[in-house]
Amino acid sequence: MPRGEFLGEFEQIVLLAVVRLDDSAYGIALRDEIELHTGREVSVGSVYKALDRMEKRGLVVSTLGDPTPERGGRAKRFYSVELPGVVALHESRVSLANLWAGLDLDPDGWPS
Amino acid sequence: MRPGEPPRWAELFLAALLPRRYRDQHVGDLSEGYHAREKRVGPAAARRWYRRQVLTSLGPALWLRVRHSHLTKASESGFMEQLWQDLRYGVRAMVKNPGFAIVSTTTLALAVGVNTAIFSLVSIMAFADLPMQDADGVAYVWMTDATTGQSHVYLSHQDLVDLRENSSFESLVGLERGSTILTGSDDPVRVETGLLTGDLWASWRLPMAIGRGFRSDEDQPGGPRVVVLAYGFWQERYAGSLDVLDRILRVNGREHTVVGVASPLMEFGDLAKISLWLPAAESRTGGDRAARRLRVSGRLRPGVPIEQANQEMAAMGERLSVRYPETNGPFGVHVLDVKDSLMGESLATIFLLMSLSVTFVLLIACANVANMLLARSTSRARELAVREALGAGRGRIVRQLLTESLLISVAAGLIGLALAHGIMRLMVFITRGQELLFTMATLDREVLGFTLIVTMAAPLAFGLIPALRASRSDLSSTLKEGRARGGGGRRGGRVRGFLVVSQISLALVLMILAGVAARSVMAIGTLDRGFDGSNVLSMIVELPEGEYSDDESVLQFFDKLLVSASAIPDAEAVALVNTRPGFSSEQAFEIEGKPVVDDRDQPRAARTIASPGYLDLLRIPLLRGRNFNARDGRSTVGVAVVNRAAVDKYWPGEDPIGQRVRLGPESEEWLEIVGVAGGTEFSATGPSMAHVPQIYMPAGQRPGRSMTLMIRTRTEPTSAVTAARSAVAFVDPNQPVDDVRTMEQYSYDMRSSDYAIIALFVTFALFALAMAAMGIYGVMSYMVSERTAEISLRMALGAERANVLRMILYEGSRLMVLGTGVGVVGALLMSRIMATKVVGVSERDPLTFIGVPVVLALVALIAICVPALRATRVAPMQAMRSE
Repeated sequence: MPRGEFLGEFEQIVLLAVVRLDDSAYGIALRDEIELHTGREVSVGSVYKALDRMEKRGLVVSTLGDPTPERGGRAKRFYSVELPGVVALHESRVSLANLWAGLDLDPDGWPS
Repeated sequence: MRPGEPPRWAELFLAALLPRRYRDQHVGDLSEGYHAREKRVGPAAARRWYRRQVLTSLGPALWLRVRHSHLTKASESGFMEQLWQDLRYGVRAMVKNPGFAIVSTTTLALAVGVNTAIFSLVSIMAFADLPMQDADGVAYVWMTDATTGQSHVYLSHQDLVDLRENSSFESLVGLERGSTILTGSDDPVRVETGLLTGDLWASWRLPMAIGRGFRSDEDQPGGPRVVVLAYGFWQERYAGSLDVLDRILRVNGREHTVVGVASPLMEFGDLAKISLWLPAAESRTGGDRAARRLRVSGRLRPGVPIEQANQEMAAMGERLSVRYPETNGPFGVHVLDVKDSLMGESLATIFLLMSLSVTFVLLIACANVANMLLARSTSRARELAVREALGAGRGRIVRQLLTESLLISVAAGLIGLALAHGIMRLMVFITRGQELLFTMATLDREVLGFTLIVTMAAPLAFGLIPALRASRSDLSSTLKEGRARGGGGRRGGRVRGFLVVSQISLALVLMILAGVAARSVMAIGTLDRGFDGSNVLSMIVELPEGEYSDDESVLQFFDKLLVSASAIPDAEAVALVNTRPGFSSEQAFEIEGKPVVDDRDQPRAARTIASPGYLDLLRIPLLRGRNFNARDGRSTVGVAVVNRAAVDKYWPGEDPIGQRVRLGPESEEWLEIVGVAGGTEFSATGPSMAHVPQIYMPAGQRPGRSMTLMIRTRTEPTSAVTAARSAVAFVDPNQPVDDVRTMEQYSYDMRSSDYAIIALFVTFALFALAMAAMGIYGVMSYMVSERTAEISLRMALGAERANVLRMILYEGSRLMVLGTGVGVVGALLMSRIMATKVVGVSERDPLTFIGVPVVLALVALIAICVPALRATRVAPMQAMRSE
């Protein structure tokens, strides 16, 4: 990953969902996983958009799977995370943790 | 729609947009998600989810498409660069030829404007967020009335009690709209109320904002007096204060305890006007099975599909008809889901017609712009050929032309949005805010999405054919030719001819429909309604039950009111009536000595309860017998006056005077008919506008707490409003008056949505006419300019001017006649659909069907004649030189 390039928030969410789902990470499953954990309703299209961008950047890689009847005989595209993706996730986490360290927010959400 | 399958159109649309790399995977994912949701939450919710997914995936899909387009494989920045180049070139081309740009943009903007306006109406119904949680489990129960054909009839309390014994619904709650007077600290105010037979919030799974809903013992006569505040009312009057609970409100003259505040989600549709929720036990219609005032909704038991509930309720409805033939004879019961229930039956048809009409308008506009582009691409053939010769690929040229089309349609889209906003405001103005639908319509996300799709799709419709044709032209011959010829001669002419014919026929269909509808509405407007409402002021006075608990006090109040209102200097006559004349529904009654064998023969009539002065005040003629008078009171024999329609129907060839009727079951007393008068009530459905049977009864014998005070004034009726208010206050200062309107305003308001719809239709039709005229003018002038050389040669060789003129007129008229023929046939089909659904529309109105094509033909003829005349004035030498 080029220096100074961060993962966007949504990219981070999608990437984490890919890691969580391990070898069953494909479109609708990723969408449902994101909704389950964030409560946000996202479109399958925006998931693919983020994945497409990250695949270009070498963070994830995709392979075609087998078609199933409930998909109308259409194949799945499985995603798995690559080393640069793992690195990017860790970097994001460390950056955020550093920024949070030492901050003390009172219960109303305002810095005390 | 196929059961168990996601919506096909959405699937196709998305698939078309996606690049091949993601197409199968993306569509497959959605299909998998759909099937999973179908099992979990049912097909309707799954389809909604699917539509939402497709809508929100369109943007990303477009992004992916651009990223993976083969055009951009070479370099991504190259694509943007080319696009930028195309855009700049397009703007330059338009600046060079502003006439074309202005006309085509305006045409499209008009079309996009009306389309967006209509879609914003349709989208309320299609995408509205329903207030209930798990709305798929909620259904409404309606009655159908076989005598009038209405299918959204409310239920009576008694019917609801019987229908509760079912196995499909876990709860059924009736809602009755009303209004009441709130007295207390401030001035008395009238507020709208919702009377509930149960806990509607529990049934809709809506949490209370604070406090609780109604308990079952609170809907019993003599139960505790409790009230639930609407959220907006709570915010407005109590500033959202939490200690409003357990406070005492004087509602209808009685003390009520506040037990809760309803969820803000309840303020949906016409429920938004309700300020107070009360248990329905307070309603006075409890025992009467014919008093159908309850809108009944309920929660289906888990796993019970709506079809099954419908079957069960229909069967129960049939049993009710058999058991209570007098009140329920022609009434059936059916179950509808929430959306179908909110949208009335005639509204659905009108929406269908409107959507069709605006699609026509859009198609006509596209045909027009396509035509202009075709003509233009012909004149630009040389320029394009040069570009091609210099190495521009065919795809590149198509893209250039499409970019130009897109430029037009984006500009048109923006103007169209502003226009749509204006149209919506205009509709609210015409309906004077009375029609909820128009006030609810906003340019929200769905509507913007729709406009975006239209503006993206339109250039494909109108730009692709010209672009492809232009790029296919034969390079060398185009370059060789001194002047570009005919966009490909015969074939180009045929394409343009086809476009013009379809324009004319679409425009004609729209114009005829608008004509038929407008004439029917005007006919109703000018119809002799049987009464004279000019210079009549009217207002509702409704007495609270608490302070006027017995009939005697009610009668005394209204007697005093008549006296004090008569003292208004400007008043020529005053009267009281239970409801203002208009479309009131017919109810069953019985004629002495004429037992009913078949339920369908049950006599039915609209009921009017009025003071003796009513007939005179509205100048309703008394045809025979006598009117009521002050002596017809509680201690004398019950009397009634019937209208002529009732005599014609139930006493044909007989003398009704002296006959006796009664309004309901045995408990009612017999009323003696003492007179025959004209009528005021019309049937709300059906093709013909005629009076319905009607029974007038004296208010002195049937006291009611809610009456309309009518005052005929000598001068302008609105000038008497203050005096009328003080006349009421003089009798009882605690009584507000309500709904003050002149009878002319009232009549207008009753029909305002008709007027709005007609205004829309006529606007569409005028757009269509203008565009069709522009279309035919464009084609003819193009044809003439193409043949200038030929024409001048003919004339130089001695052809008569008249002959040339005839030749051109013949060409134009052929298109016109063809278009008119197709249009009339289409209009016949469409008006037949309309006639069955809209009040008073006659299916084959000869004046419209002959007059409108004549108007169109005249306009088209002018559009043909102008270029034709121009052609004959061309100096031969000039024309020859231009070759």
